[in-house]
Amino acid sequence: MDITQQFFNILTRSGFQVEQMINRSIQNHLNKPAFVNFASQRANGMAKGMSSLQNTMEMLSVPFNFPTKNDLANTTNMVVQSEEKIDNLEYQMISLINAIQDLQTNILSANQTQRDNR
Amino acid sequence: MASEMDELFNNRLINVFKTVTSPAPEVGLTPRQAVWKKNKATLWYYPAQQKKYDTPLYFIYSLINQPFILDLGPGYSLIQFFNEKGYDIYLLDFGIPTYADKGLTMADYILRYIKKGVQRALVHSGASHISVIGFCMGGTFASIYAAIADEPIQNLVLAVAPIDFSHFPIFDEWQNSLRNGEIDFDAILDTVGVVPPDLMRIGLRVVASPVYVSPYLSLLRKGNDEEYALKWKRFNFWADSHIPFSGAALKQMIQTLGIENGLINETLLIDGEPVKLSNINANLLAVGSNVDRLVPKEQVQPVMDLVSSKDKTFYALKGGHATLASNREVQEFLNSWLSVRSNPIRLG
Repeated sequence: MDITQQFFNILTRSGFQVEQMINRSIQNHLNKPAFVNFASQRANGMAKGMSSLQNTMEMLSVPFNFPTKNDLANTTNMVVQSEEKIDNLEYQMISLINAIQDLQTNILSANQTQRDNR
Repeated sequence: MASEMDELFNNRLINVFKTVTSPAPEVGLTPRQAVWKKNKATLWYYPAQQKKYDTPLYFIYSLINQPFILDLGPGYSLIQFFNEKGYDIYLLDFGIPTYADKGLTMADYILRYIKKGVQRALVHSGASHISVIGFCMGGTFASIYAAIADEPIQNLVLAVAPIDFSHFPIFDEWQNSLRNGEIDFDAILDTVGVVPPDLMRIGLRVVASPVYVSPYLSLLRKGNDEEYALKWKRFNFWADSHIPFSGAALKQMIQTLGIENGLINETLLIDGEPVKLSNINANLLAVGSNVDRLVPKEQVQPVMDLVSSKDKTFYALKGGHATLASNREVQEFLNSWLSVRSNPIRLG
């Protein structure tokens, strides 16, 4: 093995070990109760702020007559509901076609047996 | 000597730079056709090159990332491998959720997508049974589905699928605080609707590896190997291809799986129906890894004692979370396990 390759092998191995050490340290710090509570409080604070902005936009959408993200989501969900109904009908139709085909096969085979018996 | 080393070093650096900055690689090259679509989800059909088994494979991938890891490219594709071995494959791709999907719950994913997909795959293939193979969170959902399914599941493969959430080695303080009700993230999840992909990436990176330089060092080490560079690029492209996550589903998963450990304690309800893993009778193969930082083996293994399957196997993976998708040795093992349980077609 040439010297360059050896160098890169050692570099990769050492890099991996250092990375693991740093990762463990970061994870331990992020797992401290103080940080956990801070993250939760911050997330809840952000949620309050965002929720109040969203409510303001919903209110403004009435006089300014523009659709909000919720309006678009509701419309999309109506389309998905229709898609689901068509999907169910299609599946029932496939099941019926299969049942009819099975019936036809059974009738044909019964007729054949009758003819053979005669 | 010194100049040769400089040249070698420089070439490597140039190759690494080229690989990192090159455009997104082509992935998902195995021929396929869409057999069913709903909302953003698609059921893809990958026909066998020469069909040798009656029981098709039904792949369910995680909701966190995109399923093209299963078909990274020629020679690195689990789908291509199984197609060549003679299996028809169906892949349920949940698609990329948008804000409109913020209300999708676990029940929606399991009953409106996974179950319907299985029904469609059965009708399309004309098969009497099916093998369900779930990867990561897709495996968790596969086990929930299998516990309440009416469809004929012959084989169930759970690949690095977390089942027992009592084992939480890295962020146990977060789990304890959630369990004690000291913290909750319901408000922020309700407000954002769907968790943006960047946040998903950061979250998973923090759990698996907050500092992420070793893959780049490996690339530098094999800087002159073009094939390795292409594989690296494809894999790295996938590793960064996170997708948004429905807030409702995540909230429910934190509560029912993370806090209540619902699969182990049998407290999980899907559309009012209790989920009991003991209802699973299909042949089971569970795959866990000793070195998986995202889903440790201890989260996977308990499923072995909970199912009623008479034929059950646990396979200890030698590699990380995504090894299954591209490691030929593991793929060969999966094939040897499935081939005798998938109704081989008697040729001639």
